[in-house]
Amino acid sequence: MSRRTIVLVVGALVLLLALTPFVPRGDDNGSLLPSGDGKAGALRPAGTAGWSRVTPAMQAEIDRVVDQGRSLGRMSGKASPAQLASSLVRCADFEGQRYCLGAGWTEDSEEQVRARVATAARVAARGASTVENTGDLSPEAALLRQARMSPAARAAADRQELTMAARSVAKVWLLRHEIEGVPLPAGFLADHPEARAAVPAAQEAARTSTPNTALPSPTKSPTKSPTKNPTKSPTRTPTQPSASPTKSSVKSMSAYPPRSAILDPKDVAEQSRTYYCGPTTMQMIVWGWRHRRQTQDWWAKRLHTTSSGTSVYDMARVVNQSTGWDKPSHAGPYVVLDIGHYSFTRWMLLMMRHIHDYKAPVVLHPILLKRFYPYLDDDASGHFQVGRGYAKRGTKPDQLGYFEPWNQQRFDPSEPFIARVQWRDAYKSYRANQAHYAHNVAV
Amino acid sequence: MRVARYAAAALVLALAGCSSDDPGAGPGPTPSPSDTPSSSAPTTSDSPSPSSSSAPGTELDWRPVPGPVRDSVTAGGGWTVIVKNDGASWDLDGPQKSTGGREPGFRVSDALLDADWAVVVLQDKTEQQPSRAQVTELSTGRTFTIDGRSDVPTTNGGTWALGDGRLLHATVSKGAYCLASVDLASQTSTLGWCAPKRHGFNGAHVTPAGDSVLSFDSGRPSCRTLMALDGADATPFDGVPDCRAWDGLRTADGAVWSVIPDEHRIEEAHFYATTPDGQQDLGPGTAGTLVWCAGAAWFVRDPQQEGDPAALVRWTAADGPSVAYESPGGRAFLSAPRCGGDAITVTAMAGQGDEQVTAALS
Repeated sequence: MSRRTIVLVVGALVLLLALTPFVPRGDDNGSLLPSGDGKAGALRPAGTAGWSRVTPAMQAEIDRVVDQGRSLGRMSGKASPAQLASSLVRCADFEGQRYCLGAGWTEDSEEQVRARVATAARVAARGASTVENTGDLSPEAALLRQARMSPAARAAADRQELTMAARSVAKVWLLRHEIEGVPLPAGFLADHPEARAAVPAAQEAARTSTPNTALPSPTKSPTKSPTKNPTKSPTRTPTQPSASPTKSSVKSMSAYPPRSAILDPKDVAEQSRTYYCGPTTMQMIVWGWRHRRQTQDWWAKRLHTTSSGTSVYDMARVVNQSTGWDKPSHAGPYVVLDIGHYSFTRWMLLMMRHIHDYKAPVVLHPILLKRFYPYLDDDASGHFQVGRGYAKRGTKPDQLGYFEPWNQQRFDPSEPFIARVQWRDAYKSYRANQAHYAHNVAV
Repeated sequence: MRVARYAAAALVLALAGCSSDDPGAGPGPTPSPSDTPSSSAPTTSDSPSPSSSSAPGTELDWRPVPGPVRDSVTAGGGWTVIVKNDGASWDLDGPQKSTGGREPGFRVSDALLDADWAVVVLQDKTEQQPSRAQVTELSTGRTFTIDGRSDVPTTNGGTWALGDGRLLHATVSKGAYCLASVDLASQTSTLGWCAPKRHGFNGAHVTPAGDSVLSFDSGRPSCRTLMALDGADATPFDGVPDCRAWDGLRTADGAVWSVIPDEHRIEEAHFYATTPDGQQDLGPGTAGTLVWCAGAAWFVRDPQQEGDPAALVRWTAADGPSVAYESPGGRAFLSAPRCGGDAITVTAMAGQGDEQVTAALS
């Protein structure tokens, strides 16, 4: 290599380093920027979408929901959980998909989500039932955090959350399509060039084919609503899709290889504080992307973690801001997805799709109870783990592989060490996810 | 100009490396090949069918427990302890009724029942304050409390076990983590075995053959050792591989115990028992589910084949292992069984429906 070439390469690297701060990764507190290169039609090995454009209709819906919150003014933290939930849990309709603040993308109605959050917050607020908190933000803490914000701060937080949701709507539609078999709305590809490479022609053709009634219909499958005239009703329920799920849009479990795992099992850590499951999960997820570890305190700051824990929305937000797992070549934008209506098979398909097709980790969100994790010495709270593998074992039950940040030994002399890398019956993890009041994951 | 062009090309190459899926190129993820198991991926090798080590089902009259499945019920001798609302409160139902819990910051961690006593333990959610045990003498209704102000105080969290008129609990004495034994009739406490420095213990069991705990060191992974306790003395169980134990209790002929073959599958244990003829392989089971009840050892076995039910296995030296209960169909698993002296209760979570059932054992 000539001296001139060396100079050129070194110069290029210097330039790269100089430009690195300007690579669009979003910032910790500001608006979220896409990390994808935006080349529509580029070959994408995984069937997902990049970041969507915020359309005028989406913007109007964001403004509507933010304004609703702003109109609440200053709130009293002494309000009942039901009162707080009815004020703070508000939902937006983005192209027929419902997103509820703090709860994620859901097929439940706004009233159902509010009732669920209020009930969980009321139970948790009794105090006596609150278990050891390993770090998932409890429902009452989430509501109080919102209630104590100034109207302006709350509006800014709501806007950031809703904007991230709106920009991930194509990803959500694809998940509904490919996991649940919900037909894509007419004009989806025209409206969402960020998803084009993800929808093979066969699937597009299948969209108009005869409904396959052999597959169960989603309990509440939303369909596309007019994007330019967002409905103002806060309690609307998405209407049924124009067509039933199509078999060809759903990749079956048998189409996946027997096992798949991502992330280096050496890149694991245990949480250093009882309420640090969020920062530690994030530490391991980012470690798997950057191959460099940053401290849990560093992630706690970016996740807005307090001693009350970390919200699942913040987990998705920071994965999007701090890694490339949100690239279209991997999972696309991470979203908080309600899996309350998922059968085990659908839930497992979601895990397989993420781990094998997207080659990206899942933010698992179980409740850490002994009946689901019999090796524990105590029941604990909602929790985060890193989903990173599955194994179909022929005639044996399917397993899920995950990184467990919770080392019970660290905080209690009555509990032995548990290895960070774990595999277990996937059905137990499914039930632990379903038993969490929020029953959602970040994918 | 040429310099700028070369620099731009190098930059493009560098950026391409950043987004490459090639694990060897740049800071991308390093997914393990899907067709090559990672160092911790499960293998698909077949092991002997667990059911081959279990005799056909022991006939018990399993009856559904009234109330929500999410409430944890322990029943026996005409009494029922119900832990409700995720541990927020408890009820003791029987010839007399009482209720408790609802203490801010505390939740029920253990509910123990035998023919003579009911014990409900409240644990501080932050594990800062000592646990409180409310003890009820079933024949008289007399109650008393064991807590941080008792002669031998409780500590936060830790293991609890009831049997033979005694209650075992953890305590801290002179900086050591120890086991205390309370004679419930006389309400006198005795300090027992203390774990060595940088050691802890849990999984206490009381059987007619004696007391036991699982001791472990602070290593990562922990070296785990089952200890037979006699007063302040502790002796490792015979025949258990070093450092790999999990469940264990003593029997007339020796012990029933489990080991964890793979630390990356911490729930998958393998159970053994000593018999007059030597050691018996009881097959796979679920870690943390072994109990002693009505003269037999019981543990849970997760489905070993797709479509198998989850099973509750009963073992005695005379009868060997047998399946005493099977869950409803579909994917399933069981909670650890709960002994009520002369009855056993188990909760099944299954694809075809959850259930909580109890069976009399005498």
